[in-house]
Amino acid sequence: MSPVVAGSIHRNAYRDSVELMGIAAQLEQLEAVHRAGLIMATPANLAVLAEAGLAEAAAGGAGPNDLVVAVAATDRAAADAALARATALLAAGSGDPEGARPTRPAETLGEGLGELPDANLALISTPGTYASAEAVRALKHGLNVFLFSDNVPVEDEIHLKALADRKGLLVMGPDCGTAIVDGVPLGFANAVRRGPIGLVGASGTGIQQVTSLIHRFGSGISHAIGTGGRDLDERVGGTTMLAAIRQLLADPATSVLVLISKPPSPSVARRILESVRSSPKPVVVNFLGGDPVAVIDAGAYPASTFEAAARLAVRLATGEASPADANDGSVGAVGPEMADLAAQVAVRLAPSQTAIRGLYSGGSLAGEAKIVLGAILGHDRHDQILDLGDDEFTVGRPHPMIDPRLRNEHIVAVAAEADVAVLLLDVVLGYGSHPDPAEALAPAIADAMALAITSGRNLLVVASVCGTDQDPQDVQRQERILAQTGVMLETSNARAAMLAASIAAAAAPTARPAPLVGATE
Amino acid sequence: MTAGGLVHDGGLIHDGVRAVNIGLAGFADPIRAAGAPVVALDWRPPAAGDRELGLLLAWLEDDPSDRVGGAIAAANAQAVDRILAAQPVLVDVRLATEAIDGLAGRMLLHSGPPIDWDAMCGPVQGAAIGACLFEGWAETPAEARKLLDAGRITFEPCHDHGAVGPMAGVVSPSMPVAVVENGAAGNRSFATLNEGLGKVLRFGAYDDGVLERLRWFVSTLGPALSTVLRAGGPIDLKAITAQALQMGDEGHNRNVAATSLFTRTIAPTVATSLTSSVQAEVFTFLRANDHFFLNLSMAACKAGLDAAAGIDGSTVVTAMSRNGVDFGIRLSGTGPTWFTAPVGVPDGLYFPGYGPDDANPDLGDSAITETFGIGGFAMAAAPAIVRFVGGTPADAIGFTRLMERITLARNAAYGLPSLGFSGTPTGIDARRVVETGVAPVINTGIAHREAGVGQIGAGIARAPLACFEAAVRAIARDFGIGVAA
Amino acid sequence: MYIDLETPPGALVIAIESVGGVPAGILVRGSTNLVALGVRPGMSFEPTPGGWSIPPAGIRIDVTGAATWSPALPRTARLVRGPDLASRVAVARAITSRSARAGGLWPSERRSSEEPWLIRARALIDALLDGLRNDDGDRATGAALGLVGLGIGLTPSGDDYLIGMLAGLEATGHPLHGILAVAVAEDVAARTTRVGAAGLTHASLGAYPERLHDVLVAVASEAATSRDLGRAVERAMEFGATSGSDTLAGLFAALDLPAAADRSERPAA
Repeated sequence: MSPVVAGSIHRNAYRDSVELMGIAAQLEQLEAVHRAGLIMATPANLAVLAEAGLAEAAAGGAGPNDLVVAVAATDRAAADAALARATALLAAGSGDPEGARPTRPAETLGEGLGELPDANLALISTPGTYASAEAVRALKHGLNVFLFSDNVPVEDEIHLKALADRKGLLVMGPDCGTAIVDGVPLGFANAVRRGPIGLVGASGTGIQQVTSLIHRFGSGISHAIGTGGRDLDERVGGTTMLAAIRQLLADPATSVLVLISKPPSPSVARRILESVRSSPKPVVVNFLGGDPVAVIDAGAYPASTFEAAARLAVRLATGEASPADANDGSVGAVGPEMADLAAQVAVRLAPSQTAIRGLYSGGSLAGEAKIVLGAILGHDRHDQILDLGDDEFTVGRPHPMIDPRLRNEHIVAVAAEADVAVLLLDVVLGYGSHPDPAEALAPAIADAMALAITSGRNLLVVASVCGTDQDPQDVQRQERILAQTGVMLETSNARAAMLAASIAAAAAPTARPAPLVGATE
Repeated sequence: MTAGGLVHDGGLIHDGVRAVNIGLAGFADPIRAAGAPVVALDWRPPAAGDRELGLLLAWLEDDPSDRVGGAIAAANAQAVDRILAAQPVLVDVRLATEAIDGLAGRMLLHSGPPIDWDAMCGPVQGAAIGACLFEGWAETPAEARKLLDAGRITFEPCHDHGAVGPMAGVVSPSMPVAVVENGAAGNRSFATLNEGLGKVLRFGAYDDGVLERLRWFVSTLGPALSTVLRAGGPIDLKAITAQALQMGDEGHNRNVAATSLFTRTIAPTVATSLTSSVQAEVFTFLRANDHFFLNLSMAACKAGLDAAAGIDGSTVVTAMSRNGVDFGIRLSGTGPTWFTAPVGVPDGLYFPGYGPDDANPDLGDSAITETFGIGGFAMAAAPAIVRFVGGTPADAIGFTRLMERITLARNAAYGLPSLGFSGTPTGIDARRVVETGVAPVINTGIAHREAGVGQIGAGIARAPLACFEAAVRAIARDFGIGVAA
Repeated sequence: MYIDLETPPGALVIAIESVGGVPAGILVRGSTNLVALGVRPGMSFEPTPGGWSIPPAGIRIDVTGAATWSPALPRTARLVRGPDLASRVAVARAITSRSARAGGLWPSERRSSEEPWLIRARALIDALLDGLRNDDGDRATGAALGLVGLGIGLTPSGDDYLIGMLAGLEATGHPLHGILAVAVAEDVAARTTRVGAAGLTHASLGAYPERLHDVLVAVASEAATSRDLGRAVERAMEFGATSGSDTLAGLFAALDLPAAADRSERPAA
């Protein structure tokens, strides 16, 4: 095969002969390159190129002040690669190699901005003591802030959000675990499809659950903006949620909004609902355990669980604005299949087993479980839902979403408690989470189950996996491992809590009757 | 350096993510994997972990949209401009009392921030005694001591009179001083003539040899230089410094190239305007004194920095100096206020027979060179210096690079070959010093603690961070910033 | 540092001190890296009262009070042929060989494979020298024209060689100097780079860089030591990567040509 000759022409490229020869030598070392030359396109040199069979390299009108890179290679691809390399080497050589800036990693924000002058977001996960100063600095430089750090005083949060508001910037946090902006995961987040639904949430794992379900239901999200856990507190006033709502309402890629939080202070709730009252886009509101009437009054759509919010949002996005159906995961809407399953497994329980123990890694999921349990079983019980990510558990220890050991200890301990009928768990996948949570949990669950059996009891374990098929962890494998261990899996945390509640209700039918609302469909 | 600046409606979600990761390294990976640009900082707590000071610094950041941040940014830009625009020129040599305002009667100037006679270290006291003898205020050292103990001599810092002095830096009314004028701003600064090494006044010696030399300065060298300057015209000190920095000098501890260039510059005028015997004396003196240019270098830096002083809101450092007990700095925005902290002994190598126990704490106004961006800041120009602290030439370059982190500009007029002719790091920002914990590095000689013994070594000193912390707090107070603003 | 800028009527050179004087040039004090100051090829260049300015880079050059220098060869560069000259040229050659970089026209043992342009250049040089030895104007000018624009580098090696050659021919008063000078300058802008064209035009008018003057003066001086020759040669070699040695190659080749009396008597063809 005759060699392919190719060339590129560079204007205003002034290099001395040693540098040009050096580049030629490097090109000739590339695979499949036969010869290479870099030369000014004077008539004399063009004649030489022609004699060497490289005339085509200068095709395209090169004059005496233009530099020609000529290569002869085995095929077009190799020739193009060589030319690209030459271009890169010429560009690199235009600085001063001696005394060139050494690569010292940037330590301060100012130095970081030297490397990325048009940065627009600072992710801050420093210890809480220093987080406020970093956030102030970032805002002053015109950057939005994702503030993962907690233990930030509320006074600091108020000042930060006032500064951000003055400058038209967002402060996501403090204590903001999750956000997804323009498809980019921030903090602990799941890989979800892009789509028309925009979220604003004061709950990290709440955002994770809703976004994951939206993905599973076939839709996608535009942006998920975290506000930090305290944004809707009376003193802070919901500044970030309000700003995020404004941005999403103005975003052409967003057609439905979803707002998630534990119940805000009444005045803040009012302000937020006011801001969506005349919204041209439908807004789903899940203020966990909050009053749906106020939401409806504001022209928005209430949802009582994360799953309900996700379903509703997807239906609104596809144009169906309809009331929730009975089996959509709303609180209290336990369908007949779940009731049957609950009855079936409840017979395996020993008489002493009546309580539910929840061991959660996600705070919002724990909160949701409590709401669901309360709605189905009432509040006069000895259930206990623990958020193991809470401060009291994480002092000096990594978060349970990253490190399973603390939860595993608790799981095994639960097996020794005679009154526990159901162990309720969340398994959260996504960026930042443990690479194989099911694998990490399975032995402890198995141990606990075995331990219970030796004491004549049957420990039932109910869980949900919060994640998508695009997450770094293999969601199908996670579910398979858990199922093989004997865990009863539900598709959402709300359903898992409902199943646990149903089991407990079936196990103690003489206990105070709870509203087991079921539609006969 | 501002970024973002986003419109309310569009905001972050409009622009896509371009992130800086501050804290846990793992958060940067998913961002990178998603194809968004991210810079991961090698972060550590600013201000050595002092939360309150860290917050103060954050509220003092440049910010054009903010009353405080905008004022500081503009003030610093002005200060830096003035420093870089400096055109120091040696115009004359005059007696101190004629040239320096307010130096009259029984007054002595000294280096560093204000200090009383009884608190002064050995070399400074020795220099004061020598000055009294030179002026004829006393006949013997014992008489001089009595005068000084009785408080009959007034002491003021050189800096307060537009002057700078190396080591003890004592200036008395009858001493000839170099007069340096900043052509860009019109202000003047002054420095005595450098005596050379060995038994010299600035190390506290006051024997007959010292006094004889001082008198020779008055009778011969001073007038000779004055004649040369009038006949040959002013001498461009900036040009000499720029060349010398490319010849192995750094402008503080190595001055032989600059001294040689100076000598070469005045040689033709010396040859035509001085008698041959005076010529011989002048050239012999210059030949033996490698550090003659140091005092001129210091006065040149002082002239440039003084032009940048007094700009409200500026956090640029306009003076760094030591009196053998305290280290003091001044900021442009806080005027004549000294921020001081106790000073220690430099880190270095000692001449045979001497050790750290013999050393005097760091002393002299010569840190004005580092304040201007040369001296230790230009160590990349003079790698030989690092031998005094057991380093390598790469360390010398490293120090200059390190100083880039705490300065606002590069002085293109002073390009350093080993850095690809990059300019010297200029315009020390007190905020950056406190934020990074990187203290300015000073190349310095080490004096014996006893008056009159002289130099016993050389090395590197770091300015105390406490001075800069105090200065930052003062600026914050001026702007009315507390912990949470 | 050599910057070539467009200015009417042609290129003007700004050089820094270490380069030495150049024809149509401004020598700037110090060793400032002009690129570091923001000067880029193609920037506009304007006269101002008292000097010149490069507005896009914000640079002003003040030439009032600057010393002037003539690029014409000084009297002391005129050479008298003889065995002494030959031995000084031999010393200068040896010094050049020691520090010449590979890749230009200067012969080098380090070269493994010969570049095509170099093969052609050698043939042309042989023809040129043959023409000069035999007073064959056509042969010499034909070969010289072939060398214009030939070779690598900012100034093609052929141009550097010719500049050195012209300086040597002028210094020794070679009869073919005039014809050759006119020939190489003809239509030169279309035949080579801007920098090469400027150098050849100046050389044809008898204007040479200071470093060439220095080598000629050193070689011409009977009292020259090898140290003197070495210093002059090394200064000439500082320029460019191979430009220096290429220029000296042409210069020494011209100086080694036999004197008129030794040339074979031949009628002009």
